[in-house]
Amino acid sequence: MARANPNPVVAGVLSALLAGAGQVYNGQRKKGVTYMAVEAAFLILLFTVLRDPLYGLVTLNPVGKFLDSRHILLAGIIAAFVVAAYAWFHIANIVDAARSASSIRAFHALPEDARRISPEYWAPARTLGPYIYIAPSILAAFFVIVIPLAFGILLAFTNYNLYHCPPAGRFDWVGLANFLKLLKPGSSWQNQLTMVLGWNITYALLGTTLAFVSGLVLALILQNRRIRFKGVFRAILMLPWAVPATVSIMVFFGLFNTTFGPINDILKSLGLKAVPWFQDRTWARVSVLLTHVWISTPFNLSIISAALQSIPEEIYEAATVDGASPWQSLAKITFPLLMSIVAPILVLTLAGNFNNFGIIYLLTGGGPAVAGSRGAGATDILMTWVYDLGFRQLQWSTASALAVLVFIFVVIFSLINFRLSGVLRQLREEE
Amino acid sequence: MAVTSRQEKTQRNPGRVLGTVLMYLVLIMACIIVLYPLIWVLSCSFKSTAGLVGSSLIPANPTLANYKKIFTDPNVNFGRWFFNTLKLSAVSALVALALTTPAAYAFSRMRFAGRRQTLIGFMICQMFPGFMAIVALYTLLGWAGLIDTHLGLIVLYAGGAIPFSIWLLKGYFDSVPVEIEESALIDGATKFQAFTRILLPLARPVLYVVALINFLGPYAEYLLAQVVINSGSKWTLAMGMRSLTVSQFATDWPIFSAVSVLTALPIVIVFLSAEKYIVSGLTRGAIK
Repeated sequence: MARANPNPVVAGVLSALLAGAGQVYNGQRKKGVTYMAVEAAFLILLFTVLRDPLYGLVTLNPVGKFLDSRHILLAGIIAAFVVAAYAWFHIANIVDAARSASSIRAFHALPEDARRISPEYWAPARTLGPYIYIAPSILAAFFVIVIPLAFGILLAFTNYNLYHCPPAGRFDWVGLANFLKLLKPGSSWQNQLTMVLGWNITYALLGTTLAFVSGLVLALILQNRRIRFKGVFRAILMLPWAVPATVSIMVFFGLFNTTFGPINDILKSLGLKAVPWFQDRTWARVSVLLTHVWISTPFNLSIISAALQSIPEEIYEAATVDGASPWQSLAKITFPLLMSIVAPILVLTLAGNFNNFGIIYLLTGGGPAVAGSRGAGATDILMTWVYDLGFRQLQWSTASALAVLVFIFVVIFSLINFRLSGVLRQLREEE
Repeated sequence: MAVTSRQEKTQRNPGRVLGTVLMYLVLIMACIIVLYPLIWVLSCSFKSTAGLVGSSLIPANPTLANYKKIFTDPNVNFGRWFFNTLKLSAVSALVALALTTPAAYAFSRMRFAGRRQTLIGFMICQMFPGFMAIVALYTLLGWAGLIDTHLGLIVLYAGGAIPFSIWLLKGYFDSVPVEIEESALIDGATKFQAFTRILLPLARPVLYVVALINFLGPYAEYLLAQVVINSGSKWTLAMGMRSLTVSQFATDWPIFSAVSVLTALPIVIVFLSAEKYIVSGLTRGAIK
């Protein structure tokens, strides 16, 4: 301890000017020198390796060895994250210098005998331990999730399309043009967006609700004491969850098929008319919902069963003693308690179904086609339309702008979910 | 409905009997709806490829020709698809588990700057629509020379599994009492030893669940596989099955059926035998 009475403000200001300077002023030499080395390393990187990518990120002009616009953007994003990580370190370093200064001050203000406790106790060393454990995951998630997502978001502000397509062409920043195009009232884009969004919300709400209701009905029946062979019924009803969804969807593609599919055969043998499942917009939507309910009911059934079992038996007994009918205890006890337990999961499923890509892509492919559209079909949800815009029409920037809009919807859903499930509060309480 | 007291059980009034019959009817209907598609595809796999497959559940002239064909026909290389898929799923699951277990331990047992922010960050990652990342992933993989390689796909599967796995593992670790580890620390064990020798054995069930879920995820994944892989020899089961359905020829349907039966069967068996653990692993955090 070089200084008995360091000033937190001075320590903070010194560390703001040069990382580690405040720590050295406090007498924490080893830490201070390490921090200084980190800042020096960063500055060297900034003016060598990071310079070209950062310049490229701002202008999207070819620079140095980065010629392909996509590479320029990617390298720029990585460089920007390095800068952000350093900024976080620098701020933490300022806070640390000021806090350490006041701890040391408090320590020296103590009576002599109390000071025999190690000063480390008052200014505990930050250990690297936890960061070593999380580093592999963070790095992997950074390259596989964070950077690609940042890239996707930024593409929404470029003109990356068929005519500006690297490596032959190059794309540039265009600001909010893609969003304005999509949202411009009365335009074909906006009409299309409204149609797709409308069906997307309907699909998510209806699909989630129908699967929940069918799961609820089955769970309640399986809970009933008068029902025998519960194990057998349960095992059969869980089967759709066990079959990989991709397989189930493709099987339903065959079931609904109008040339050889058995569903129309059955309808005809019942004296009904054959249904143009994938050719008619309404029937195509019905087929999507039916497939969805078939696949998702078991998950709902198992969640609801687990929740029902967690409701204590005594509540029902008390209700029966008080003369409640079975229907009353269902409506007044089971249902409210059940909802409070499964609501967070329900909202999460809703958000998931909003982007339930596989079922639509593999079943109807978004079709049937709609006249005068921007490529979206009657069963297209935002995500399948986005995929089509990108991979088939090569309108990457418009597709990305749409994806950003989807993200905003999902965040709103999920915020409600967090509020409901109290995840954030729990995390705060843990610390 | 959910509950019947003993008293009521003895009073067999007609309304009650009717209710029971109705409940059985609903259950049986549901079972038929669940079973029909499965039995249909099973029976299709034994139907001959000549003529339409139809709705009958019993093939007129049952044949094993389709199964023979998917192992011998060079265009329907089931063995290769299956091997590729198993390799991809197993390696992805193990890599994801190895990456996330130590991280979940740190998040559960240690308190450090940035902990809460990172956990919330992982949660937000899961809200992004997958498509947003695809263009960048394709570019990144191209840069790293991993397009059309299984390694590229493994990187995507394992990386994508990180946020969910960390949350699931952390939730389970939180529920394991910390006292046993603390006493080991007092006895001179390092934190790493407390983690590997004490917590991991106690948390074995959730390790299996996370590995299994991360195995099942890539097993029938189609979208990313189709973006990354081109060569037929590297196809996965989902890609192969898709190629059989989009051909639109009804005559391919029995072949498709045979492939999907063999694709689904191992998963159904694994899933049903581990169902209890999967359900409790998934719901443990949410339902207490």
